[in-house]
Amino acid sequence: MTQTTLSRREFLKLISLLSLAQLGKSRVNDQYRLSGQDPLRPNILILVFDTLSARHVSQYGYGRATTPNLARFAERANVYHTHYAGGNFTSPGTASLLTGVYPWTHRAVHIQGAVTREMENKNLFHAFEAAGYHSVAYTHNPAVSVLLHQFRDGIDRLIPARELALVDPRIGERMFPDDFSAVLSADSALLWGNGEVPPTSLFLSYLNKLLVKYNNRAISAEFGSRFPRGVPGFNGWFYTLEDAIDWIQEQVNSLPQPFLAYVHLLPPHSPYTTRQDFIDRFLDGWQPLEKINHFTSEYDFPQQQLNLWRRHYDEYIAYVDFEFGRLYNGLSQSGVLDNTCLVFTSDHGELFERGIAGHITPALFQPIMHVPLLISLPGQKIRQDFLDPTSCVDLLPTLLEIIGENVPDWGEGQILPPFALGEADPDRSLFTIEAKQNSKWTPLTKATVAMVKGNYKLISYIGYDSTEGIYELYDLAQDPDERDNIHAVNPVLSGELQDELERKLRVVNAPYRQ
Amino acid sequence: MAINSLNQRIHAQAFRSVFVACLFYVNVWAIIHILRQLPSWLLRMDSWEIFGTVSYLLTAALIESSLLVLLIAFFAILIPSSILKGKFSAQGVMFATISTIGAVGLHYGGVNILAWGLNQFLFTGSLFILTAVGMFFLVARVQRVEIILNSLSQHLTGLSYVYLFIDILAVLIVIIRNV
Repeated sequence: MTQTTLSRREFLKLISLLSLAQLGKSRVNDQYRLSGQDPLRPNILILVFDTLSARHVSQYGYGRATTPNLARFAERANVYHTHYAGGNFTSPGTASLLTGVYPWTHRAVHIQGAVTREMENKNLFHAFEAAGYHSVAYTHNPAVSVLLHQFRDGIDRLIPARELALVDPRIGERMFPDDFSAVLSADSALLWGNGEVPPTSLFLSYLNKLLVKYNNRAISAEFGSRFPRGVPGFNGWFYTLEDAIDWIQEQVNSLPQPFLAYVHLLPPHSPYTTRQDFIDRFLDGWQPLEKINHFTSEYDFPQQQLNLWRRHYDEYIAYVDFEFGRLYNGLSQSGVLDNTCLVFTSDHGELFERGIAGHITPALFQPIMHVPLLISLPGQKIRQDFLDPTSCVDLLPTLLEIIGENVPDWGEGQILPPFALGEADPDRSLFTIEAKQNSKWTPLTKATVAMVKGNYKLISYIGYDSTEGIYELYDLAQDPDERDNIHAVNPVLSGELQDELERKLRVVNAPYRQ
Repeated sequence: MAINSLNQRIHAQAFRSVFVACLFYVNVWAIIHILRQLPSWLLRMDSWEIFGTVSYLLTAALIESSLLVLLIAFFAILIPSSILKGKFSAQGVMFATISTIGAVGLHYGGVNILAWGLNQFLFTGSLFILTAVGMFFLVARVQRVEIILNSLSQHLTGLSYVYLFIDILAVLIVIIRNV
């Protein structure tokens, strides 16, 4: 007697068909029928808001009501409560999200860094291209543009950042669009320098600054009343979220289906230039928990200053949330969400504690690596919450599973619940890596690695002034604010986790030791 | 007729001398600061990308040198020939030199002109113009200064032609990367 068994994929398809059948006369089926689209191959819209820490999102329990619209969206989405970025700034975080591997594999570990040549064809866009999807990508952030240009063979429409810029000061990108990474590096070095080193241009850099000053003045005259803290943008770029949101709505209504749209918007990245109606919204006198300055703190900012920046950041998030709410309404009303899977996430978080502000730091505390992830399936009507830790490297296999494609074997992530069959692995370890002082071409010898396993988080500071290494261990269940380093008081657990991390590092460093 | 007038004011040899000075100043600054940025690029870029980045920067240095010499020539055209007295070479080198000293001072003085108000622009601009005018009359009246500036230009010629060669190579690399 032969036993007939269903593969996981067949099972998923069956489940999907059953759920669609249950919906019966709903708009979902009508929508699919009208579009002639396969209901098992929904559109995918990924919205990344740069530098959005889950620790500042009211949806995840933050004290300030920063995100009422996201909460509304969450009522019809899968909400992942403990989702981690792959890195603590844009390049590693975004590259992990797009490739499904950790920074120690893709190696985009520097500011405006690029992934290895090997990863140029191993990413979300190439996987969806192989699945017959039409893909479009847009970002405000030049660090993300470096990655998108690397992946451009798999992207049908890579839209330049200037499309939504209020002014476009970058001549190089226009003149040499196919050599983006080198042009961007040259542009930065030529006109801005790198903070410690002046620009390589004696005179043109000043001409550029005068142009920027002129543009600032013109933009401020036009938008200053709406944005008293400055118009959103940086390094001479300016844009508004309103334009981006309107543009997304236009795009998704006109794209060939099925599509993959990746939109990576810069707010709430610093400078925190919220819109006028959100200014002083959180002038509530609330004081966050004060924490002792960390040894990685470069400037030891006073708590009062950190609290002020935190408030400005929160008010900027409120603006982001408002505009997201407008988009969500538009997508719902136009029926786009009936055949589109909407993903809301971020590339990394932001920190206002322990003397540290921002995210350009070796520190890997929760506010900088805990990011939101919400996924709504086409026509989803109910909310599902998932508390187990997840990572941004899980997004690629999950989305491929949702569209019924095989998950590639090179990924380091797992399919997220509820799309994965079976129980989540309780022994799974997740990683966030910071290695901007390490060479892209060598083993990790100067880096910070955070490993989350169950309730515990081990942080290893590699290559600092200590022969024995510097470790911190936190019990996130008992101490979610990471105030009590239990590394020394729990040597057995510390030893086990350290051994595991060191074994992992030996494996990932092996290709670079030859 | 206009070309004849221009030739009378700016001889090709004198123009070359000024261009040599501009090339030298702009390229020395660019190369020093490229070398200072190189360690951070070595961390993240492969050799072809570094070649590309450096090529764009040296191409920009060539353009910047050319713009500077054209700007100086433009000023020379505005100045009555009775005042310039055929001293374009020395005056041009002088202008390139004080412009470079001023720019280096601003760069290393940690000056952020984005934060400047009108008064700061007026003050700095006036200071520069006064210095340039003062130096102009110094070159016009003191022959020894003129000789020093011309001699400076001559001494820079060899090195500047090396820079010119490197800049042209950089332009070729930029073209190769974009065809």
